[in-house]
Amino acid sequence: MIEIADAAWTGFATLFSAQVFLYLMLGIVVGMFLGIVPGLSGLTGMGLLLPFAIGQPPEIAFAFLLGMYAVTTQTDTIPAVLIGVPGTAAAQATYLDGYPMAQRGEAGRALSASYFASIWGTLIAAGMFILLLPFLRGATKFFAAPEYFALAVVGLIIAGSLAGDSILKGLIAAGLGLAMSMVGFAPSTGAIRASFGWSYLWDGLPLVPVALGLFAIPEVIDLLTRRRSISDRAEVRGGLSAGFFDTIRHFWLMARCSVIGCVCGVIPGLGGSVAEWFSYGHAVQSSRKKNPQFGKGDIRGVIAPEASTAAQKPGALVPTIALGIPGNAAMALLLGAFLMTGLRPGPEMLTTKLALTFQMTWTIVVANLIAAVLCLVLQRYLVLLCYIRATIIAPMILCFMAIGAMLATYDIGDLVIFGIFGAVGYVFKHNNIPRVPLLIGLVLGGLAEGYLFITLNRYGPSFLWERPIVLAIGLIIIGTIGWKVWSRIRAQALRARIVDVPGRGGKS
Amino acid sequence: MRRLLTPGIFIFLTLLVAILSFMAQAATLSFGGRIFPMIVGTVLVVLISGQILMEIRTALTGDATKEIDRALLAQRLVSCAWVLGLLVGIWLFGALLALPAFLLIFMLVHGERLLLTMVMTVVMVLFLVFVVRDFLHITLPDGLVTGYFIR
Repeated sequence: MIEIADAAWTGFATLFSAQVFLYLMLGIVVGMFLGIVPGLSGLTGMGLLLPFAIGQPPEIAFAFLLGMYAVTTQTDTIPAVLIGVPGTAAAQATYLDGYPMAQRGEAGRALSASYFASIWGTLIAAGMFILLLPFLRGATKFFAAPEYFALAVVGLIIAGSLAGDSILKGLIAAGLGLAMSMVGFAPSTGAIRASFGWSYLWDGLPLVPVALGLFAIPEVIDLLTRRRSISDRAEVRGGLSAGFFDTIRHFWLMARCSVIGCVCGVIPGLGGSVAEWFSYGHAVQSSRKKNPQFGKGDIRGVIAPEASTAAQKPGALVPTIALGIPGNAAMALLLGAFLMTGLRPGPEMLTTKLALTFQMTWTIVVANLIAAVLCLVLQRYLVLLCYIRATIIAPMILCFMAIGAMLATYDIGDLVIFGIFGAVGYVFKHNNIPRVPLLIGLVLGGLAEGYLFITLNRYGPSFLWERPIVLAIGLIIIGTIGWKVWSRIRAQALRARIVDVPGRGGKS
Repeated sequence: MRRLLTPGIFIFLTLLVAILSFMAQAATLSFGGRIFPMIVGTVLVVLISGQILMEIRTALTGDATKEIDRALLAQRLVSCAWVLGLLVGIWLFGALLALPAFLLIFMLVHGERLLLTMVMTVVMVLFLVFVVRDFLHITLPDGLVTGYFIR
């Protein structure tokens, strides 16, 4: 226990050392900007900043990346509340009640409540992480190559099953990610696979150009296509204390939603928007008898999703750090940063590198606190960023993305990969094929193959039925797919029954 | 037959061909090299085939009179062309020339004020020279044309 407290303090002190704190502040500023501008997000930022973080010591690199990532969902509330345009997908539920509040002159209260809910959500999730830590440290001792292989598979299948509407499309995307991870040298034999005679591919597909192409190019193309700024400015004054007391008044709702967010973060493939809608649904359901005004400007409709999305981030950090299974696409990129800075997720991060793990958790908490203060002071000016025309912002972002993509290997091949995956991402986005499982597959594929190779050599195929944790994980895989298929069949049956009812526009 | 020409069917057929060629290439490798690609490839072939069947069913039973928004399509194509233009520009002339030039041309074509356009272009040049090259010590790749003259 003393060891944990010592690591917690070391992590905290490191975060406030001059150089680390400077990078943290830089990350926060970039993150606040990315959150406010509709169409950009923490994931885009992670792809953009990742090349600049590589080569720095891990303490600096993670303060920079996580500082940026932590605050995007805090500033995305500003355009959602003030002008009715969510800055990121994770602010859509907040918009439902935040915007009506702004229209009736309560923008300050809504924004203040959202900032305090984010702070509380992050603190609750960080507290859960610290409470879970002794258990995680104990649990990882029972994990060897077969268990890590099974975990990689379960991470992929859960990500594939839960991301998007169609389980089949999700699993195809996850499988494609796995296939992409096999490009280049095979870890077991050294044979070159699927390089099509191009020596650039011998080292495999570089993560940064692929991620930037998949996620950022489609957003920029859509920004270019829209080509307009947002009008009808809303005023924001006061409401600071009212927002704070709202979060105290609805503390238990906020605490429950923080737990929901944290759990959504831990489960691969769910991410911020799912956490937000789950929590919004929970707030609506649990407030039925308390004169709810959801959709018309109920403060609980702002507090619940904001606490949830904030808590989702430390939650997503847990499987990434402890097990090497990324909770979402941004965490997949962070996992890439781990590997590029020479760190290996797993038991080491909870023992010898525990101080760094704590530093990451504190980074998210402190970044949220700083961003909340900055937002409260500067929100009147920050909102002006929403009015920058797409014809100014989109080419700038595109240029920075191209630079970021070329920093992967400094080869022109990076640019080719960036362009190809930009096209793939655009096609996938507009045909409802989830991109998150694809990226998670690409990151986990190499690890999974390495673990499978060790497992087959050491244990043979008997690891599938002789190791209890592998068996339990197998049951989780079957359960996940079974649950998803069953819920789909049930939904179809329900729809058919509604259509069959005379007078409902069906077969009457 | 024209009903079957949907984007979904086209995308998944392309993916199927890509995976089959990936498996064909993997089949030439030793056991250790091919085992993982063959397992993943086989599962993918089954999943993609299932999705194609679902797409065909949707195409045959769905509404065939869906209107295409030609104006939006044209706008999207123009946006894609700008992105492609930037990438080709970097490939030919290198990042140091292509990025500021792209910014300048793009903003001028879209009617931004000349002063703002010039300021943004200069900021981009300064960023590339002082931050990327001098501060971060990053050497961005030369373009095909500029590289020829430098050599």
